[in-house]
Amino acid sequence: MSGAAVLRGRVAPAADASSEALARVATGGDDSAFEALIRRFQRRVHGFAYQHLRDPDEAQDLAQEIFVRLYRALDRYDSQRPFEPWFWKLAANVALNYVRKRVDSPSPLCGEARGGAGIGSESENLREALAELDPANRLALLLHYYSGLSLEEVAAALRIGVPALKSRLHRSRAALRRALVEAAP
Amino acid sequence: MTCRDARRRLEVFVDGVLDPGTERALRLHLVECSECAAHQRAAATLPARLHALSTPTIPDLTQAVMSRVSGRAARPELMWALATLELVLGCLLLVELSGFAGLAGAARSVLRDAGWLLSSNASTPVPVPGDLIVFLALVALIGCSGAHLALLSRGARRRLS
Repeated sequence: MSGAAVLRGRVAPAADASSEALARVATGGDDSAFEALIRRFQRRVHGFAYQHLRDPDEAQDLAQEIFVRLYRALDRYDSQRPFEPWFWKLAANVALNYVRKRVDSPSPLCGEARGGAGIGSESENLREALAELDPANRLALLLHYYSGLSLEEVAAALRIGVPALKSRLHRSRAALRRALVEAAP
Repeated sequence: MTCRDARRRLEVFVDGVLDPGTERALRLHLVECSECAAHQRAAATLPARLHALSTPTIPDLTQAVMSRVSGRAARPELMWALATLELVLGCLLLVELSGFAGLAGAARSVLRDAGWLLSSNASTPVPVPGDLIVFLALVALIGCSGAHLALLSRGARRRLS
């Protein structure tokens, strides 16, 4: 089996197996392959969720939700295609829906987190400015600059064209830049 | 070039896709205008700063996620649909094979009537062979049971792991 090794009588995923191979094995019902996928992506997924929501508890909840949705959606994954764009597309959808749900019932923790320590530092100013962006624009920025997806992958994830994405990124970066210059001492 | 024009073009300039003429004019403006130069510095460092945003450390999510997905191995509605189909097929086979002549006769009569209704020639009812029904029902039952067992064993494997 590609990307997998036999271990203690069970088929266990190899550490260097590709994400596509892990997803293919996980689709066949192998939970150890799915766990390997979680371990591989959890830091990036949690980081993405945290920058999007700015609340550690909610970020953890969103990150879990993304993996739960991945587990349910694995049957629909076409293993002939790259895993990451498909996965981040799913993550972007889950994040957008999560924010919509949160707007309907705002969490009291969110306000506390925004008023936390570190206000005035450069990265805090950047986080404040990010939080002011429209969720769809913030998502585009985070997927491209934070998670490192290509323009084509982000455009596919957000179901928009590359020119529209570029324009969205330029507008969002301009808004952040203005906020940062104004906040600078 | 005015400050407004310069700042509108800063992101395109940072990405290196500004046309050469405009780029030259913008560079000249940035030398003369310290405020726009500050905007340019912010624009130039922004992508790297976004990439370097720090995130609080988190515990391993694996256990939490696996506990949320365990027991969701198979969709309940699919399991119920398979169970219902198996019950119907089982009853059909029971009627055909049980030797209850009355029940089997009634079922054949219903099927003959259905065949007669579907037939273009109303005067000659289409016979429905009982053995064929038994065979088809048996094949369908074996298929359903196989799918059902596969789903159950997959769920059990997930719970065990």
